[in-house]
Amino acid sequence: MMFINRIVKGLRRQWMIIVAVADYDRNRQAAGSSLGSWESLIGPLQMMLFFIGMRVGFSFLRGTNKFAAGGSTDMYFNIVVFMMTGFCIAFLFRNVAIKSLSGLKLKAPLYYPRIKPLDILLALSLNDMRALATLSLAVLGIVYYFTWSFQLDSPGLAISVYLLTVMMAIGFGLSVVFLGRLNKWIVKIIKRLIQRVIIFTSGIFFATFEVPAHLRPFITWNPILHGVELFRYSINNEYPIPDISLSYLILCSILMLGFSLILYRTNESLLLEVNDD
Amino acid sequence: MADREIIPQKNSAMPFPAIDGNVDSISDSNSYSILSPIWTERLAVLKKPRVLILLFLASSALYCFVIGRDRYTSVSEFVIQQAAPLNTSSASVLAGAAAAPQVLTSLVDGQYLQVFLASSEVKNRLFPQPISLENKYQKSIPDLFAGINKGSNAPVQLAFYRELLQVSPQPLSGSVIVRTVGFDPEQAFDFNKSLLLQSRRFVNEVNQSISADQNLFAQKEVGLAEDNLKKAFQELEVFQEKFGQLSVESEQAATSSFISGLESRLVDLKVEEASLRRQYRDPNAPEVSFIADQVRELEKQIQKERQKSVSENGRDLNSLAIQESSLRANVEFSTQSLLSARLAADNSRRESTRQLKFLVMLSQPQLPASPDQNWRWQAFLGSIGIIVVAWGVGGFIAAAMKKA
Repeated sequence: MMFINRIVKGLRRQWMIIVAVADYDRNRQAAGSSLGSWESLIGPLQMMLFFIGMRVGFSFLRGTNKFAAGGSTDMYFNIVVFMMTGFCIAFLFRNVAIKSLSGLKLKAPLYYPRIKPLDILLALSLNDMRALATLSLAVLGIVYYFTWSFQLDSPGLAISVYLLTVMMAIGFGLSVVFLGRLNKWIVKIIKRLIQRVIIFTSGIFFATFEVPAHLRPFITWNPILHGVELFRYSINNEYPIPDISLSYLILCSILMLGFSLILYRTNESLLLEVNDD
Repeated sequence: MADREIIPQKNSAMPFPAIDGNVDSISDSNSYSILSPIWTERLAVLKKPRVLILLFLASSALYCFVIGRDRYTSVSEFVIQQAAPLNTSSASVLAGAAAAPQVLTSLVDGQYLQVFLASSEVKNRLFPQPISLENKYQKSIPDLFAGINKGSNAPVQLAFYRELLQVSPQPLSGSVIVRTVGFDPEQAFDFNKSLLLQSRRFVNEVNQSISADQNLFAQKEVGLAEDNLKKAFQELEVFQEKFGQLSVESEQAATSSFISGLESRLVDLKVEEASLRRQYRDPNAPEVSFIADQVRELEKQIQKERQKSVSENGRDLNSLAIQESSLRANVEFSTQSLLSARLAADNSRRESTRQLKFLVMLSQPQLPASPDQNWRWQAFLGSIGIIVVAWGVGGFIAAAMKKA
C-alpha cells in the first residue's frame, strides 16, 4: 500500500511539474505575441481555414457544386467537420513530433533539478493538445450550432484516439531524435517527411473509403491515417473505415512510446541539442 | 431560526440534559452546534476540484460497470438486390461489370430504408400501442436511466425507439447493416427480425406499388382504346348502312371500269363512223347518222357518268372514298392501340405480381450470447473525456482570457 501511495504521489508531483512548465511556456509565448495566449489557437486556425479553402476549391475545379464540396464524404460529414477532424489529429502529431525532433529550445526550467527534458517536452505537447482540442471543440460547436445536429457517437473512442496520437507523436519524435544521432540527415529528412508527405497521406483531404481498394495499402501504413479515420468514425459510427484498425494505432503508439522511453533513459542529453534548420 | 436562538439560552441555564419532553431538541441542538464546524470542514473538502473530479469519475464508473443494465446487440446485414431481367444470361450477385450499378442501387435503397426504419410509421407498426413499448423497455431499479418512463409522449417514444436501432448503409459494398439493442437477448434478436420484415415489406411495397400504379394506368388505357375502337367501328357501320354495304373503293373501281368500257366503245364507234364517212359521199346518210348518233349519245353518257361519280348531287365517290378510308384508318389505329394497351397491361400485371427487388441476407441476426460491454467502456471513457476536455479546453480559455 505504501508503495502504491508513493507511486501515486510521485506521479502527481510529476504531473504538477508538467502543468507548471506548460503554464510557464504559455505565459512566455503570450508575452511575446500581440495576440497573447490566443496565438496558439489562431495559427492552427489559419492553417485549417486554408486547408478547407483548398479542399472546397479543388471540389469546384472538379466540377461539383458548392453544396457537395466534400464529394462522397458529404454523406457522413459536413465538409468543415471532416476537415477539422483530419486537421486536428494530423497537426497534433506534426506539432508534437516536430517539437521533439527540433530539440528543446525552452531550457530555462531545467534550472530546477527536478525538471527533466522529457517534462518540458510533455508540457509543450500538453499546450498543443489543449490548443487543438479547443479549436476542434469550437469548430464542432459552431458547425453544430448552425446545422443544429449534434453527433458524437463514441466519445470514448474519440478521447482514446486523441491521447494515442499524442503518445505516438512523442514516441516518434524522441525515437527519431535518438536515431538521428547515427546520422543528422535522418532527422532532416524525417522532418521534411512529416511536414509534407505524412500530412498529405494522413487523410486530411480524403477518406480511406474514397481511395480505390488496390491503392489503399500505399496509405494505410500511416498510423496517423488510422487516428484520423477512427476520430471521424467516433463522431459518426456510420462512416465507413475499410482497412482501418484501432489495434494498429494502439500498437504503433505503444511501441513508439516504449521504444523512445528506452532510448531516452540512455540518451537524455540528446534532447537538449537543437536541430533547427 | 428563532428556536436556535432560544435553545442556547436553555443550554446555558441547564448544562445537563433534562429528562423531559425537550430532551431530544436539546440534544439535537447540542450535536448541531458541535458537529457544524466538523461538517463544514467535511463539506469544504467537496469543494476541491480534485475531489469533485474523483466523485464524478467514481459515480460514472459505478453506473457504467455496476448499476447500468446489460445491453444486448443483434446485428444483421443484407443487400437490396434488384431482380435481373428474365432474359439476362448472368444473374449472379457477383457479376463483375453489372455489380457496380447494383451497389449504387442498393446503397440508395439502403438510405431510403435508413430513414424509413427510423420513422414513426414503422414504430407504430411494431408497437401499435404506446404501452407495449413502455412495458417492453420499462425502467428498472437500480438503473433509472436506461429504458422509457410510463406515460411518455409520442416524441419521447420515437426518440427512444430511434436509440434502439442503427441502420448503416455501406457505400463500398452497398450492403445495409442493422444493429438493434435490447435489455435482454430476445429483445434485441426479435427487434432485429421485425426490422428485417419491415425492410422486406418496404422494398416490396415500394416496387409493387409502382407496378400496381402502372398496371392501373395500363388498364385505363385498355378501356380507352376499347371505347375508341367501338366508336370507330360504329362510325364505319353507320357510314356503310347509309351508303350500302358495298365498298366505296370497289364501287369507284367498278364505275371507273364502266366508264373505261364506255370510252373504249366510244373509240370503236368513232373509228367506225370515220370509216363510214369515207365509204358514203353523203355525210347524212342513214348508216352514218346512226353511228354518229350513237357516238354523241355515248359521249353524253360518259359525261353523265363522270359527273355522277364526282358531283355532290350524284354519288360523289371521291369524297365517299376519302371518308371511308379515314373511317377504316380510325378502326385500324384503334385496333392497334388496343393491342398495345393490352400488351402493356399484361406486362404490368406480371411485373406487379413479381417481386422486383428482394433482400439478400448476408448475415442473419443471431441471439446474443453475452451482453455488449462496448457501451460501458464508451460511457466511462466519455466521462474521462469530459474531464480532459473541460480541464484542457476550459483551462486554456480561462488562462488565455486572464492573460488578455
